[in-house]
Amino acid sequence: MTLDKLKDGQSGTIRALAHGQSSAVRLMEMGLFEGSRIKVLRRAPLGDPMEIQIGDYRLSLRREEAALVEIA
Amino acid sequence: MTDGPRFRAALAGNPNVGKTTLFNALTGLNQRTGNYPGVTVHWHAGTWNIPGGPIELLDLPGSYSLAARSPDEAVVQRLLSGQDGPRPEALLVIIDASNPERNLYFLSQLMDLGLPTVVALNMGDVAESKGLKVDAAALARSLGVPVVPILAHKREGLAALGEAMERVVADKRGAVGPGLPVDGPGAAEAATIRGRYEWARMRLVGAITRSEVGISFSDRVDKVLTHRVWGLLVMILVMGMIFQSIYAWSQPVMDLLDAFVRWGGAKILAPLPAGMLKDLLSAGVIAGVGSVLVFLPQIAVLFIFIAILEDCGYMARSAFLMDRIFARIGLSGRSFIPLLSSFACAVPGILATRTISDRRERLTTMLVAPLMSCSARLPIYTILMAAFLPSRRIFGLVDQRALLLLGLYGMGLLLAVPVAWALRKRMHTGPAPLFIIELPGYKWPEPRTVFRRVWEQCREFVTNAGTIILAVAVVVWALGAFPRPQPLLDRFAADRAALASRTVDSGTMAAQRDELLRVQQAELLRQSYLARMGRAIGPVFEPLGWDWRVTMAALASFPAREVVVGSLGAIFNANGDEEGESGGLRDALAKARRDDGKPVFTLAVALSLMVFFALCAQCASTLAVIRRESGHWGWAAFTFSYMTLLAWFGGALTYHLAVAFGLG
Repeated sequence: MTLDKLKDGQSGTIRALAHGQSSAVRLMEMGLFEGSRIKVLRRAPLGDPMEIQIGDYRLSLRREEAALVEIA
Repeated sequence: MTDGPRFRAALAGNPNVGKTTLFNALTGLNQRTGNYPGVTVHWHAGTWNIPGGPIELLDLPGSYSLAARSPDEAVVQRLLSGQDGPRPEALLVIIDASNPERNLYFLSQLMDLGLPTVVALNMGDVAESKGLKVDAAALARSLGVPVVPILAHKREGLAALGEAMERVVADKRGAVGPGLPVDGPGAAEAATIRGRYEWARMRLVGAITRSEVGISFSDRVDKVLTHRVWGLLVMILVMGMIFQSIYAWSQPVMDLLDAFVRWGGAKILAPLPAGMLKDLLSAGVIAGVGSVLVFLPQIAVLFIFIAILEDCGYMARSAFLMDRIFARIGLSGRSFIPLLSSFACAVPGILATRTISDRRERLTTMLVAPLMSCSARLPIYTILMAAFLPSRRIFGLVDQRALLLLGLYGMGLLLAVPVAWALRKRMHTGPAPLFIIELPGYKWPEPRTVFRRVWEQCREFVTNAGTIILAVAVVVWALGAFPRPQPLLDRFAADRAALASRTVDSGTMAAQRDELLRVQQAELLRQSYLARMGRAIGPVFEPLGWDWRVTMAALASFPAREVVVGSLGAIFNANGDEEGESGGLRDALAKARRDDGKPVFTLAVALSLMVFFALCAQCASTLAVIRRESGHWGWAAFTFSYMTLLAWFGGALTYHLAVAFGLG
């Protein structure tokens, strides 16, 4: 399952990131790599983007960016 | 010993960790600013007084990584590797104690540069509220560089920071990071990134303690402000207030400034004899200065809001809430405030694009911002509607004037969609833009940071864009004032003498004299260089139904589009004193005849003129600001060209449609 499929309030552990994507590199630099715990806090009023908690901070991710993140 | 700084240190750190606050606290008012060549990033440098004497401190743009993805991000890497000017001799890295791991990721890259490094551990208070405690001494031991706990907004720990900086430079002790690649392809590899995070985690072992705390203040606030219903409601309120404040609340201050400039101008001009110099000063220079200063209240007001919203963390939330709408045209939620502000005035709107981190997105937003119908267009709409479109309810519901106004506003907004989309397509080179936005914890805005931001923005506008605006005002004045053929001046003098010799009562005399002066002024204007240009390019605007004098008025309005109202008045010798200025102008426009006796203005012409001014870039200030903010004249020229083309086609289409519907 990918991160964009998680419901609001659900959390999971990252299993892998899509390879070869330059966006994936930046996601990793922001701390999203295998083994990281991640929680979907909520989605914006129009359903996209989503607010996630990763480690000690929060990010806004768009659906297509979240789709690069494989959740175990 | 020289007076110059002994050495240069660079201040680096993630965005939203209090870097600007720290920089301001360390350097005080002693700052210089500028632009990095070719990119939209601004640099700040200041003098930092540390125990051994003053040094130069360079504020680097907030960044998450040295592995650059855009020209703007590359600035940090280029500066630190010495590709742009002298390489800094030391680093001051500010990290957020409430988010240590990711901050240490960037720190690991910076330490791998091997420069003497001091770490400023900021926001310990925020960390504690999240149940996180970072032991600075333990962290210093595990990192091998001094770690100084500070509270930048309270100016605590700054002296210790100076002492630490003095010490590491005196010791010439370079930092030792994990020793992974900092640039080149290896830097962005998964293994490298993992390695750096692993290093960060190891450094933090024994230096941080965590305890469970309940839901924090920031979390509770966030729950409301990003809520589907409440969040949107709050945002509409905040945005409404911002818009109202630039649109309406700035007006009294603008009027006051305007009155002040007039008053000051009159004081300066009073002792001068009537003539060329006085005209240049009053109509060229003083009017030009006025047109620069008039933007300041709007810029100041907008930037008070922007600085507060950014400093407290709401800016990122507004981008989060609106992102979806802008995503469709290749922009993001960050474009929202700049574009909204542009409905009041594109100048502060374009300046507000500084909050957009992605260069291409920022440029696109900047280039479509002038399409938003600004408040300067309103006088044109209202005067032409008042003169040529009777107030009538359509289906007994809405006034057709209101409907047209709505259409004019909507047109700019709708056209911005394909323009933005096409621009984004053209600029789509290099890595895909990222829309990852950090949602920082909420905090109270710091007045000093807010004030500073507003002050800098105003000062920069006056010194950079202001000079260009002034120059354009003077040039356009000169085009309208010259040449002054002697035979014409002689005839004017004779007419005035003839009037003076007549025997009528003094009241009638004064009125007749004013009337004569106005007619003479109009005649002078009608054979000026500007008029010659109007005649020369007249045929180009024939498809819009314009008489050459209308074209001339449009030309004269290049400094600012609202000037077209005054220009039309001057060209068609409107009498301003009878029933208020617009009343006089309205009649003059309605009475104006072409050389063949047909009326200059019909409803079709008025409509084409309105559409033209809704879409054109007749605003030297906007173009000057685009040049300044994009770092290129090319983008200003591009904006002028595409908007003028749009305006021409829009005007021509409107005219022909209107004629076809029998409104000609």
